[in-house]
Amino acid sequence: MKMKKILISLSLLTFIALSIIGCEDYTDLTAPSIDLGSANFSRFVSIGNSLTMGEQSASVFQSGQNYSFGNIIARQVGTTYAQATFSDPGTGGRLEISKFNIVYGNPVPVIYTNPNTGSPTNLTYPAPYNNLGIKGAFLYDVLNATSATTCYTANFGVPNPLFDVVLRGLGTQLELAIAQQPTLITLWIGNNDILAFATRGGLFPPTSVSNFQSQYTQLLTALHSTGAQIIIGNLPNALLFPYFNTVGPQVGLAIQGIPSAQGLVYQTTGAPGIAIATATDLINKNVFITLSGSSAASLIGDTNGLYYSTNGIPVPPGVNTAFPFGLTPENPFPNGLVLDPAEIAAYLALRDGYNQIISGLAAQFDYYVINWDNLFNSLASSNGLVVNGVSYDANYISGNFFSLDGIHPTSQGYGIIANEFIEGVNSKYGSSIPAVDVSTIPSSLIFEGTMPMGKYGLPQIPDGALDNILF
Amino acid sequence: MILGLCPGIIMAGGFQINEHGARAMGLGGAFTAIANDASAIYWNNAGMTQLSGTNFMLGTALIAPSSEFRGVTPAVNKNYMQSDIFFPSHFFITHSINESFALGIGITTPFGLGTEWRAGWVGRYLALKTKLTTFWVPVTAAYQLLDNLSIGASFVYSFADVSITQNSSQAPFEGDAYVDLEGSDHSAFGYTVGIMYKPIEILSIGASFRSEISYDFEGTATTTGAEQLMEIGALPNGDITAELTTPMNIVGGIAIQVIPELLLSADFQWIGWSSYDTLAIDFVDESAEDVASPRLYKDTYIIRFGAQYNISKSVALLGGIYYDQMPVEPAYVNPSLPDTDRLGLSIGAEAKITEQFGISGSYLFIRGSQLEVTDSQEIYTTGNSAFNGTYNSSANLLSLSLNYYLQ
Repeated sequence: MKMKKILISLSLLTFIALSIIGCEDYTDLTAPSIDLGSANFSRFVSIGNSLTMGEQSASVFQSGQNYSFGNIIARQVGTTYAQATFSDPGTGGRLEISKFNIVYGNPVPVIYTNPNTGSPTNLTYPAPYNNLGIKGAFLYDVLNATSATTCYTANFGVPNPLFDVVLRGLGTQLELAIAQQPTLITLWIGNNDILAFATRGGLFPPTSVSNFQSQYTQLLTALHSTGAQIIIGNLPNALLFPYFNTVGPQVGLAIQGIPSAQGLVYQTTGAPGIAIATATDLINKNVFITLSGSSAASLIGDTNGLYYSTNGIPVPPGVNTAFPFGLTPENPFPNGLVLDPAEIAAYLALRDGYNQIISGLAAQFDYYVINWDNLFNSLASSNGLVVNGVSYDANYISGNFFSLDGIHPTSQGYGIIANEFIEGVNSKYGSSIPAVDVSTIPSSLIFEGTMPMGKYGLPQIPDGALDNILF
Repeated sequence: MILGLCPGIIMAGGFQINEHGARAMGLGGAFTAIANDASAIYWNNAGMTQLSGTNFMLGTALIAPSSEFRGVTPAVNKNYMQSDIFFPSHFFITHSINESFALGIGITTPFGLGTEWRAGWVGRYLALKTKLTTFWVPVTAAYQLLDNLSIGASFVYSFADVSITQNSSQAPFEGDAYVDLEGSDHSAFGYTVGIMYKPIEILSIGASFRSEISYDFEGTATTTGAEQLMEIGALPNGDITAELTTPMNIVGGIAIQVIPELLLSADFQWIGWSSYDTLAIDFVDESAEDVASPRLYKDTYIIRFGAQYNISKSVALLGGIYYDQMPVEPAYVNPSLPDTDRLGLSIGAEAKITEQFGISGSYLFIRGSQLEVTDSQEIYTTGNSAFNGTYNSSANLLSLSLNYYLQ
């Protein structure tokens, strides 16, 4: 009898145990596959400059390059995409936020230039990089440059070592693109051909429209022969970027508070040699002061020649530093830090010329062109842009789109740019590649170091930190 | 605590813990109409009149939960909850003053929560480490009105601690800040009442009511992040208050002595989870932004069945099964409390070692049904991206109680 009870009990226990094991309630999940339509990402190559390389805050560094638009696209598609990466803090001169000063109740960042550089981390990659973006590349370089000493800026005494790192002596950007037998190319080049003119206050000669025409024709003809699908980015209006819009309006407000001042007195390239930008001109952005000029702008009114002495620049002939800096014809604000109405007009006309060439050739070869005006006009509008619930606009730092150099995007900004390319591929090649959720991309304005603050609540950018700013 | 009482993990729907005695756990918690050991103080205090002399019960449960989140949709990356073991414990004493009147006191943990996800995981802005501990100290009296009818009532003193940690974004600046919220309330009160009726010898009917308890947590928020942001007071710090009301429970049960060897029981437990509407953290400093996230819990229920089979006069086997309905809409499921419908299956045994001393042990396996969230209202980025994905959870529990009887 007792034995029987135990047997019954044991079978009950077994039943319960089996029920427990049997109630497996776990299913395998698979990520949805991506419909590529006719788009072919099997050999995906990008040609371009720093915007393609993934520069942020004036440096090219690995944690930023991880969010180069090409790398983001490659992740969305699931294809390989090798890059010439640099360990943090990257290629040098990275801008970082050292602290905030509270000016009239608002936090104003103080910017610090990281004195360290990283080193290349992918030099032994056994094939040309998929990402052939090179910081500082001009259109000329894609066709001709094979090294630091043969690049375009070498002609101006600035050899660019990044050409050696990315190209590794194997050929030009164009040759390395063709060598990979690319199936899909993003092409975004020509920005520097005009940007250098603008960032240097009109002092750097832009590429002529006729040279641009012949070089872009040569480039697109060569790429066309590969049979690859090509998505082209045209040239955005950089004058909408914080690099040009941050300092001027604040200086305008400051000058309004100086009763004796007529306006900002600055040097011009040609005659008459001196011009005045009124406070209204600066506030309304008829005249730009570049972000590079933020430190100099803090010295407006100085009568000790501090701008020249702190930067080790010889006082130019005809300048008398005993007069208030930037407020008098005797001691004008430097030409290279100001983009005046004539220079603005010249920039806009050139950009129109280049973009017409790009769209004309693209139409001829039947390639999709991203017109960046849609994106950047939205960013610069008073409402800005909301993507995945995150607000972006063209303001420096608070706008969330541009990095600390005021020109290159943040990681999330590159996400938005990647989505423009993805949209281009989808509409041209019938694919349904999902846009990246930019709110999942980490914020990338970097903290570090210490620096003193300046007047007027201006962001304090070290002199010279942005001297070589290029796309 | 001297008893080594520790916080519990989510065990039942919401953050209720239903393990208060190995015998009750072995019976799948269908114990309201039985309530014939010292844990009656919790389950149905009217049952105390069945006990004679003085009864001590000391025990603990060992809870090993596991949860996993796959997502965020369309990704199917696996994120595992940190494995952790919890020991919610219980101690009860009952004493018969005379044949019809009994007093009791105890301590147990009816609500608790302990979840921890890995640092840096995708849901870190929603939850990193969440811990809620409540203790109930019921002071109980039971009275036998008629031979077959008893009633009981408890006054419950309760204290509770809560701590919530999560990351918050420093956007547009790099990096995450680390937010640590701590609070406690050491004086909260509630009550329970119970009734037990035996219309015929082999049938017992019981009902129990356990009240809501409202906690007013007071504590501090500590946020650490980039030095540059802390310097200018951009990260929230300071005194905080938060309110939490644990739900009322109304339970009805029935038990039948089918044959002398076999006792069957069933409970229907209704839980007023709609008391948990919003998780709100208020900063005492008016300039700091308060935090509120909707939970919108709804009332729910658990159905329980238990069986006891007596092998001999001193040894019995226990078995139970229950179904526990989740109290929250999938859209509001937060990884700090990965809720789902649950099925519990238990087995156990108890033995009388001597006339005075008994021991009971039980094992409970809880399988949470796979929960696929497609319309999440939980935002896991600095934007508006929904925390959609698939949750799986299960738990293994062991419980051991020692009973000591003094004539």
